[in-house]
Amino acid sequence: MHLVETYALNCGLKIEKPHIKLEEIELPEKKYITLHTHCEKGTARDYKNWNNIALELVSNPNFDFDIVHIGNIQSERLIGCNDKYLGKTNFHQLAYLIKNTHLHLGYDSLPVHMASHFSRKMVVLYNAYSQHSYPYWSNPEDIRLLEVDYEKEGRPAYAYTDPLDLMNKIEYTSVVNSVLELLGIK
Amino acid sequence: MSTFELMSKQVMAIHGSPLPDHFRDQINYIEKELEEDSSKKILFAMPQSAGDVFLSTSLFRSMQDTYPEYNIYVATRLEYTSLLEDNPYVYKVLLWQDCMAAQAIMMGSSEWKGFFNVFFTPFTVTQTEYMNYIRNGQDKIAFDLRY
Repeated sequence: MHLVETYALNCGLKIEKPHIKLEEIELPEKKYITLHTHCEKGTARDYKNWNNIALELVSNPNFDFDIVHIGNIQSERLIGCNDKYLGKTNFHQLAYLIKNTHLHLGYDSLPVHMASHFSRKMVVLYNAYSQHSYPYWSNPEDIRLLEVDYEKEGRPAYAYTDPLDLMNKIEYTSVVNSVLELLGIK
Repeated sequence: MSTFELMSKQVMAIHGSPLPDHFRDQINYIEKELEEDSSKKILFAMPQSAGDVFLSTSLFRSMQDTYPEYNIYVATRLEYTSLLEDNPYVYKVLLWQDCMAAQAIMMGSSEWKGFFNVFFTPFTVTQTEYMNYIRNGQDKIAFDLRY
């Protein structure tokens, strides 16, 4: 059951589209994808391969996108990424940035739900069952949800720390390949 | 007798101890925010986090349609209030107060008629010690929840 379904059932209500105010900001000149990497809440969603992913993408001669790093100012800076927006957008500006992205890449967090609301293509990494917080408003063809086989690797921790470090068992090459596939790049 | 004193007296009579004193300012805050609204009221509480508040906004149209004569208040922490800005279904955003966790204070008990007619607390299902929504990703819903 998805989080929003849990809330709807608890209140006896139906689910429509979410609502967020948009605030226009200057967008990158080049077409771009958004990348959200840093989770402030513990280490369970601390994926260690973001640099490898960024490097693989920018090294691909057919990848003609700016990688716009979004999120907290404390995020580790990544090779080849545009950090102009890092820690500098409010929720309304972030929504505007995501509404105009070609693809969103990141871990399970607010930007994923925003990107779903705006029907953006998306690659999302999970450290627990994606059934509980997948991009609810997305077309399944537009999203790639990456997570381990919990039967094989162990159950999610449902905590801010994960002794099994499940998210880091996701191969970074599968992340890169999912991004390239959704963008139609060979 | 102030609202705080009335409620504290009720709580003393039922539970044998008064309300914590720090609830006084919180109750005064809620009372002041509601003082010009004589309509029926709903409080939807989602103290945190950004994703949950954003997801919650998808329920407000259905809420307004289901309760057309009620004003919808949403309570959340200060850092998430801007997510509710310009929402056409939200009458007013309140800052989350600890005392809002007490249903009797929000909805009434005994001689206290309460602040709100309807009090939704969906966060209690997902943000308390017992996460009552995680079932190894295998649970299903037998009916359609989409608007």
